[in-house]
Amino acid sequence: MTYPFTPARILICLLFYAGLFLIISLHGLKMTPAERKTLILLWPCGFVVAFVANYLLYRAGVMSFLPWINNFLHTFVWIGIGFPYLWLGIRGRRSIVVQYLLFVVFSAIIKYIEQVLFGTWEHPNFFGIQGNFWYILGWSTVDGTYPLLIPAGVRLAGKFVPGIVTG
Amino acid sequence: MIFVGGAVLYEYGPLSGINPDFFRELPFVTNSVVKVSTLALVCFWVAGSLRLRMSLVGPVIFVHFLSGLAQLVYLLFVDASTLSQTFVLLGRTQTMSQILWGAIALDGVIGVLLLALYMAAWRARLDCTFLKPTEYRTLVALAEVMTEGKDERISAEEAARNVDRAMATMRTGRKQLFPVALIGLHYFPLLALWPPLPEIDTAHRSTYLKIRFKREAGQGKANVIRNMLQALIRVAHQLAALGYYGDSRVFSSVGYTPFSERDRYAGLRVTEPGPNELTVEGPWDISGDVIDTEVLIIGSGAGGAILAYSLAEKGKLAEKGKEVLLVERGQYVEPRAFAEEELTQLEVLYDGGLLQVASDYRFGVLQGNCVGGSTTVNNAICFPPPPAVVARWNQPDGHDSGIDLSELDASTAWVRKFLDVQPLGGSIPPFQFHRGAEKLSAVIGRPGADTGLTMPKPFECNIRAGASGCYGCGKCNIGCPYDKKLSMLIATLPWAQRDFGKRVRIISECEVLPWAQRDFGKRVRIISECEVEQVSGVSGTPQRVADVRARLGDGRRVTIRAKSFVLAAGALASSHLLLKNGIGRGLPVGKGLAFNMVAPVMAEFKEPMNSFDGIQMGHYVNDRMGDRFLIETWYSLPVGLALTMGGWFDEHFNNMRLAGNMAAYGMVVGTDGESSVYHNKMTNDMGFHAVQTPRDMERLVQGLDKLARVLFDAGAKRIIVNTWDHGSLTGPGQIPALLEQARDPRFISLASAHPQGGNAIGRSKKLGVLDEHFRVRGYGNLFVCDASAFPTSLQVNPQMTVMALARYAASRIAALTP
Repeated sequence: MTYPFTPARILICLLFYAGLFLIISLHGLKMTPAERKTLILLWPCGFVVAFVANYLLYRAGVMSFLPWINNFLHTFVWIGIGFPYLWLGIRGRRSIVVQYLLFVVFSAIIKYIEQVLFGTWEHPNFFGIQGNFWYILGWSTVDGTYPLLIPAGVRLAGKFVPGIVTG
Repeated sequence: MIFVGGAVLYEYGPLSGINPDFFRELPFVTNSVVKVSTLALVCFWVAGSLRLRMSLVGPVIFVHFLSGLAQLVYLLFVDASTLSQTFVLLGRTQTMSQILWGAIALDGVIGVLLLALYMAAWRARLDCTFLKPTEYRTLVALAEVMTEGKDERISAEEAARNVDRAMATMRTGRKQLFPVALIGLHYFPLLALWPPLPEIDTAHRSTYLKIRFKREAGQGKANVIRNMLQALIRVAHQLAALGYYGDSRVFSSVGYTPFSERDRYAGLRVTEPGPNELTVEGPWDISGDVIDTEVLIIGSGAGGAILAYSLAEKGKLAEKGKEVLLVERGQYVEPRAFAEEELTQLEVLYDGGLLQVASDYRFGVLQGNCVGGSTTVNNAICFPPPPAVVARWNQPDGHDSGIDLSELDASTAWVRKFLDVQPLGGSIPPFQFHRGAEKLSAVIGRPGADTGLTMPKPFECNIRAGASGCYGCGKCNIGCPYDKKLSMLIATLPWAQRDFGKRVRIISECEVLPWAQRDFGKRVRIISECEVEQVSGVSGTPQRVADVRARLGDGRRVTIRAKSFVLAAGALASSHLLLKNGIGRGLPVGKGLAFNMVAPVMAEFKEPMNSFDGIQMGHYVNDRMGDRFLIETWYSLPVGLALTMGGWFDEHFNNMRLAGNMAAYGMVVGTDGESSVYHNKMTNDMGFHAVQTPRDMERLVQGLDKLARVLFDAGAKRIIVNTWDHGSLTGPGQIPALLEQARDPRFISLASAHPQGGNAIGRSKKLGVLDEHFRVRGYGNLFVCDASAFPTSLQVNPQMTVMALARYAASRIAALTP
């Protein structure tokens, strides 16, 4: 299968990422040193974990194949930077329900954009629920658990790494 | 006319030459004729008198949405072959599913259009700011039932509009509870196939409420429905009381005369206060998004203000004097700007502190929410830290708090001198007590009387005495407008800024306080309207706090950096800030919460008592058998009195009419620490569980028993305890029945203004959240200094203990702040 990874489409994708970063930054908070350090820690962790997980889930048959360039863009930029940036901006200031919904919505937007630009989020079902719509929405709801899980991860990391936020 | 046209079309369709096949094949065409004809008739009926019958538009809107829903269900569950049947409509072949989708769209559009017009009509008619038409009408319906009688001074609509105005002014998000409760009450009768509450006529509505709500709620088995009913009734009832008794036109009907209209006013030569010598920065004064300071104190109440003063004081506790910033969530209001209207003061000085209810909606906690914290609105009562309680805190097999008793005594003495604490009374001018204590004294002091109670003693207070002292206007709880109460607002904070200059900075509407400004001038800075949202813990050994994020009253956010951070936001809010930010995991944060719970008791006498005229809280009576309970004499302004008065609906109204002949007492019991604070992740707000143990209730009942007997002996015609079935007693023979109900916390109204505990100080790793330096265990620069540090309830008013502990803690915090 061929995917339309032209420079123009990649650029458009990056512009969409930038647009979402702009929206996220509307929370108007300047990052503190501890938050910056936390983001720098979460960046490679999120990138590596998500990059590998996406491939393994494809091999398990529950995800579509993300070509390397798409997987790299998605995990290095969005999961690596976008997710921590969003979380650091809303943690403690929004109810957990709102946090969850924000992650689901942002995640669904990203997946839909990548699907339109590259056609890489094409899969017949999400764990038996038929339809590509449910596939994109389903994995977005999984991404929504980021703010539920990451505080525990950060607290654990804080035992070994001084100077990061504690959840 | 649309519906008439529809009926004609349905009936004429099969006979016409336009689409005869389509209409002939519709199996439900006759039903449709009946439906739209009925809707047309309802509309004609409503149009006959729109003012009286507008509520009938509701069912018309409802059936449109119901129709759409029914068709949707049909679409989802009927087999595909049926849906694929075709009809010719408007010259085109359409499938059944296309027709159903079209009908859903048509019903939806009509429904939405009607709903929008309906809501717009109600809004135009009611002119409400906060309440929606449904909520407003429910409140009016309840107020009609509650205030009907010969002494009704304002209409139910006026009472509801007062509530709407008050709610619109309040800024707390907690007020959203009220619309929910009112909507619930509006539709609750539907469950029993009654029309919505406002549609029931007044006489039947009264019966309905009493039978359905009162009896079911009070006597049913414990279940969710009963709790919900109780919550709905209490909330709606209190709202109606707030709107009605907050109106000055009602005052004379309850025997209340505003202070400026009392006979003795002219003889007092009352002087109005001048400008408050306090500099508080509001959101409009803050530029930039980062603020730096040495010590940040969150909260400007008794703990925060005394601590700010003590830290800024050069060479006393801190060698150089610290630069202190106080941030306060509430507003800064100078005493000279205090309004005479109780309702207005409640909105401004309490705000969200008026709406703190436990998770079961049965137990309320009242706290000030303004610069000065609760000291601005309390009764200024000063009990020194009870030695027996502090000794218990220090027990090695308990919390092992490690408090140096001699140093605490010195701190208490300092507070006593600093705020001129002395017993109420004196003869120049004759001090204005109300007569509640006199009635108790007549019986307790009678030779040979064995009441088990001590003689009433006047409270010690930080209130100005002598010729220029307190006027006894009775407004302590809505802020002293004459500068007679040495609260943090007019004493400690202005003095701190005066004495220590720029070292004391205060930001209001950002959760801060104003005491530290008199003596330390600018060393104490205060910011108001500044709500702390996030306390950012940073990993390391020990962990530390790098900064806090706060939201200003105008919506902007600022980051505040400091060397040390002190939570002094009160027992509930300080615990909540820790829990919300995940600080102190593994520690019992929020646990061990206790209250001085109060059950109000009213006694009606034959003669006028004129209790409104006098200091609100004058005397207390102890239990001779130990510290089981404490009785305080008190009275309140009309709204406060209405919120605590026993009785429901018309009984409550009649009780209020007799308020001029009543004296009031508070039965105070310090609860065991079984309650807890929690962070509600769904609402991102504070919540708390209020637990009354059988031991707590037993002590309460013992106190009620003694008090009721003394009051009847003193000549009371009637005693009112705010129980669910309204414990109105006319003789001692009824006391056992009252006590039986009062023993169950579900059936008696209890409240508190003194939450304590949650972040206990103690060297015990199991029980202590704070170490002996008031520092959160595991953190290097985060401290707590308010009533949440108490390991147990004091059993007495905690103000002075909070202040003494703040003075005591200052040297420790200063030493740990580099």
